[in-house]
Amino acid sequence: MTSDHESKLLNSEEKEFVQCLATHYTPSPMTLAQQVVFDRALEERIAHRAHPFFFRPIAVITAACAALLLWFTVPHQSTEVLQGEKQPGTVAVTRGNTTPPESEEELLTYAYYDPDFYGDENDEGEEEGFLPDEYEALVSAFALPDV
Amino acid sequence: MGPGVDALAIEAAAAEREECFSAFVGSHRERARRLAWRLVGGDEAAAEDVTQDAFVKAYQALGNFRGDASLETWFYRILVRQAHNYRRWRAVRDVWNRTWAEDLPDSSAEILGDPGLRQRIAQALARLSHRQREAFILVHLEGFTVQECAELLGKPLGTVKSHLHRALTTLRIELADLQELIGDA
Repeated sequence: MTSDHESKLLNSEEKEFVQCLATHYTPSPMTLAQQVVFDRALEERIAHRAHPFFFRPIAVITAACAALLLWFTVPHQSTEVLQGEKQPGTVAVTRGNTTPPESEEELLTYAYYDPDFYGDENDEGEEEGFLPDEYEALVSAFALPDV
Repeated sequence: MGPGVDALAIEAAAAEREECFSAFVGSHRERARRLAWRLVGGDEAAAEDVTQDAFVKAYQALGNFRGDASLETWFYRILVRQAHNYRRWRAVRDVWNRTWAEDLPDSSAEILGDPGLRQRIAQALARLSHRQREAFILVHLEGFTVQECAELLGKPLGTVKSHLHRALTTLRIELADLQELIGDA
């Protein structure tokens, strides 16, 4: 590879500027000891990556198991909505009250909050509460149609 | 040819390959590290990491090398890509940690010796687009020809020249005060 500088591209001032950058923006050269360390580390890396295919199936199986576990443990809210069923254990989070209370009694009420029994505090403002905050912000910013 | 002879030939080829690769590392170690250092923004550890990764990738892919380009061009292409990947990863990490603004000193900070000067240059280079930065470093700081740079980046010659022109113009504006200081000294 040539080290010929592309002098035709630059005038004398630009050459000087580029030369200055090349001089000041450079690392200190490696010492002999650093070179030896570098070569050893490189050999180790090459040896370590000599059998990458052995580890790949293990990683794939682990990832698949984790995904399956996640699938079975996380409740599928979208399915519940489609089925129109109320799950007794689902946590109702209303817009006005997103932080769980501290006392045990309030915590139980919070966890098993049933809007049909207690009455939903957002009933009157259902249209406001129907859309997420982000969409409402977009509606106000870009005058989007109110869905 | 019997299987024993085949095995010997493979062993000999492997040994030759190892020897060639060691020689290649020996002759390009310093330049590769310097180029990586400049591309990643003056970070010693990152430069070493990127250089080693590039050598490892080159070693692993040596069997696929067809000789369409020179071995050096092929290797430096890998290195430039590794450095680019590193920068992308670091950018994501920096956004995540919100430490970028804290780590980098103000660009108007006083130049105090070489580290300050390097920092200023690194910051100015960091503000260029990655193609402009790569082209500028390869051609003007590392001495690759425009043709070689075009091959390395996989871009047409005209595009590389355009990148070089824009990079130089931007850097001269960004580092105008630096130019005056150096001129005075």
